[in-house]
Amino acid sequence: MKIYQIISILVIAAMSFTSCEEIIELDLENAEPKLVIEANIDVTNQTATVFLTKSNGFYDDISLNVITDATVNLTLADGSILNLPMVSDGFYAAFGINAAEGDELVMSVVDGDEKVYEATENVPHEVALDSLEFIARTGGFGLGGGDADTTYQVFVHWQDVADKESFYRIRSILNDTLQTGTYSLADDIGFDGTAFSTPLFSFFETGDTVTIQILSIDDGSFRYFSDLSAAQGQGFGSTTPYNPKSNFDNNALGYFGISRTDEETVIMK
Amino acid sequence: MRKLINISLLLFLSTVTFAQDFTLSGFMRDASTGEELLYATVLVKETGQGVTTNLYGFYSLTLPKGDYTVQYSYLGMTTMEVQIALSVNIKQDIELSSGGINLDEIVIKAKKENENVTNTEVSTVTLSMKDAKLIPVLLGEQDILKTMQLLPGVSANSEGSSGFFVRGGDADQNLILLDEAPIYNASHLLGFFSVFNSDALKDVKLYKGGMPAEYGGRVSSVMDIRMKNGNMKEWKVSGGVGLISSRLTAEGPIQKDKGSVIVSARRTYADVLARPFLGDDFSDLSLYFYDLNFKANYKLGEKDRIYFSAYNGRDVFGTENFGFDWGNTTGTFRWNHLFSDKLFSNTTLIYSDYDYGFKVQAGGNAISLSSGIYDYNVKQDYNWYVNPKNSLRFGWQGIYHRLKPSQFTIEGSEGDGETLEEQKALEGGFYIANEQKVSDRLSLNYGLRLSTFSNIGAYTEKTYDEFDNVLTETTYEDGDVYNTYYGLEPRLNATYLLNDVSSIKGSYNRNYQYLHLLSNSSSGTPTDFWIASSTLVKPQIADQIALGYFRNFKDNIYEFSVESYYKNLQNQVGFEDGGSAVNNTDIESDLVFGDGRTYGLEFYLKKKKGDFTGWISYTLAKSERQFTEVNNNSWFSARQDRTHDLSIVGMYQITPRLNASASFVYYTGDAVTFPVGKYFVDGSLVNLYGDRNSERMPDYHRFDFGLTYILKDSDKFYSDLNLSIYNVYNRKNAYSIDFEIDDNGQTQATQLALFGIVPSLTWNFNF
Repeated sequence: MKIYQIISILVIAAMSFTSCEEIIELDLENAEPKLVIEANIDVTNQTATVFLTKSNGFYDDISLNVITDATVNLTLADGSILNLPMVSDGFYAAFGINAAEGDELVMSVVDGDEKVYEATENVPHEVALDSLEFIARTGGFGLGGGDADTTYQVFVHWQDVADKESFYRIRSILNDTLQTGTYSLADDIGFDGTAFSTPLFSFFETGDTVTIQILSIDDGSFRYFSDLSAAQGQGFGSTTPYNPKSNFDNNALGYFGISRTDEETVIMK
Repeated sequence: MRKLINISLLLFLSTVTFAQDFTLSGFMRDASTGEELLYATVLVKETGQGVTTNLYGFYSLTLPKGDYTVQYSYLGMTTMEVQIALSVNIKQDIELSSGGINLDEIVIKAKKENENVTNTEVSTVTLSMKDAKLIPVLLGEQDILKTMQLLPGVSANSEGSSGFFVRGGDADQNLILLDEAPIYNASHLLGFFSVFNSDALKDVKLYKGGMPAEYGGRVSSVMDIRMKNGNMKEWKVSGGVGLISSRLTAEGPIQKDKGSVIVSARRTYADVLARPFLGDDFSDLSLYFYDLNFKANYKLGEKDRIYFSAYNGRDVFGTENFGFDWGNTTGTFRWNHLFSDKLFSNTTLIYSDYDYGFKVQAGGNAISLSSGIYDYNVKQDYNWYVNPKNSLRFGWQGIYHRLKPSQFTIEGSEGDGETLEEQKALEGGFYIANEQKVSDRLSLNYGLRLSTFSNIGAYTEKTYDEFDNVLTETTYEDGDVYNTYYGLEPRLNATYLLNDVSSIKGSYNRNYQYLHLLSNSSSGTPTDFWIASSTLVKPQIADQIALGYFRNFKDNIYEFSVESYYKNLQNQVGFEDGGSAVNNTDIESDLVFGDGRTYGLEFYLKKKKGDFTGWISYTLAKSERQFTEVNNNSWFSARQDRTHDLSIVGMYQITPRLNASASFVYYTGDAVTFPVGKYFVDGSLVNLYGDRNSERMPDYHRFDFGLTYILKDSDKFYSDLNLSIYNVYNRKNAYSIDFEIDDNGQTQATQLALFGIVPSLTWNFNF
């Protein structure tokens, strides 16, 4: 018996020398900063907003390197070109835009070095939010329940428009802060014309003011966010890392998205 | 056309013997165990003609009537010379022994030890079980796959894995055969041990190129592993008890010199030992693997012999709520039949399967994922010893594959999971080959293989658009045979003797591969699964040429070779960016197809005799891939691209009882995709990645040391104690590197290393 114990100790001792994690310094070539374009056209609210930044180096801090010397133009369905002037650092916008379902819009960004980046998308159909359902969960179990005893999970209900290719995204605004980091996306392939019901994976507490937005979006930005969501959620089953495919050309990062929105605001009781 | 046929026939017949010739044939065996000697040499002293024994120890020499001195030799054994008066067909079985050296025999032995220079095997490595035993390996286990990785042209998978790459090929491009049964996953315990228990093995041959025509189905290599038949003379037991695992082998005659049987078993018990120390959470932790090898054979008469071999192994890892297990099972039934003194045949029936299962208990639901591949194989091989200059081999093979790529079920909830359709296929092969001694200096081994592959219903084939949506569906009924592929595979090996101690060898071969392994993560895991070729997934094709120079020095004490190769790969299968293999019913929509090319230079210097023996192997190579949809269609390094791969191995007999061995390996790190920056999108910070596989993991190097001390060596009992130390200077070799952006926006690279220094003690015995 004694020998057996000694041997066991030897084995455990042997294994404890092994496997370790440590933080290392890697000698990585810093890539040339790339242009990041976040271009959104909200057809329901008739606004076009474009945010331009440059990527940071690997070991840099995370300050935003905004781009202030670019020219941003939007070409509408009738061929007219609308310029988006810079309204604050890196932020270019225009208001009062008129566009209808099916219109082809072209977003073009020319940077300080005269390089042109373009993306073309079509305006999606409208969407109407039918209702929001709140399921109360007690006990604080589940994902991110917080300390409150009762948390609420939201189910969003809406009707898909039949006979059209549809792409949807759901966003939530909690107490005036837009929730970022996760993407709730859906398409209607195989479910054309049916009633949709999707849960959100954030939980809300009593007293929270919650605005749920449902967006009907174009297919280009839908694929971009699907890619981005998959690339971020890498774990078991991950493959080689990659950059999400942008709908802008010329190797720009970011996306061009056109949306129609509907929203509802609720205060949790 | 008719004239051409007549001339060829005439040329062929002119090398065929006349009625005045007689045949000397028989089997060569080890005198102490009765085991057949494979690839042993039979040489006629007077004419210099010779032949080697086949995979069953059989040889056949047809000569004109006369008196001859025939030498029978095998490396490590005393050569035997026999005077033969050949006036009738003679059956001469020979038993060689390894004891008792006398002066004359040393001279004879030395002459046959330039086998590596003279044989027609190009790009081939033969591993003697004796060498494998003296090399320190992880946790004291003798492992043939680990030893293979120390040879030129063969590189290791990530740390601790026994998966391997040959000449820049992928992990699924190696055909691993255990007594002719394909083994689909040769790794245990996440790759730290292979499934091969060396106690049960007799002979291992790795073809890195120049594959003879009887092998087909994979494009980069063939590893032909043959089990021992079992001691024909007396019962023997051997085994070892170690810190992490133990093994036991028993072999002996069913009937002396007529039949024998061998059983080997091995099991780890890491869980039994670790359990008391891991606390209640892991009180029901299972972590073990086992291997069982069984073989029996029996001689039915002078002309017939039957064999049955089986293997079963399993890895089990889990707790009450979580379980993961995988393993192979194989069964081979063989029948050797001698049609005549010149025609040897072997008929084989094979069953082989590999499957894995994964189960998680989450709340009230049991989620399980399983996958498997099942093969039913019939083949026939013939050796026709036409004359001393020509040995013809021909045969055919049919394999019925059943692939269950993935079955995902959730018990106790409404959804019933996803099941990928089972794929069925029929793979066939027909070959004819000849080993010909064209002249005193030139020997050729050439052949042609025709391989076929057909899908069999029931199945629904789909095609997809660029956004992975289903475009068309074609349904096949049960038993429908559709989508047949054909492949013509020429094989050619040539050896040109410059003189007695040096030669030039070259080879060209074309190989087709019809099954593909889809891997999820960047290193192989048991959850990778096999798919069959289909309308969308075309068979892989490889063309390889190799040229080498072989030279032995100082009376065959030193063996040297330098070999270069170039391999062109077509229809390589990869994943598109973001593609995933887990639970994907439309997996073919996530696949991309492209080309590969690998080339390199291999150096090998070996000292075979003396108190100090060992080798240095160095490979300089490149392995690249190209896919239209990836990396803007430019060539990128394959993950396993190893620019430099160096192995130095040494064994020193300090005293007759004490032997020390050491090995040092150094190789370039894997090619990986790392972030080169970061940026904000939609309020989140995201990593910006560089070009595919444009960065490198840190270089890998490691030194292992081992000591073997013979405790007792008598006629009745042998035992020794082995101490192995893995990674003596405790280098933390990177297994993976993760990048995290912390709350302050700083990017941190965290490296995970698997093994530091690992000592291990094993007590071996046999009686």
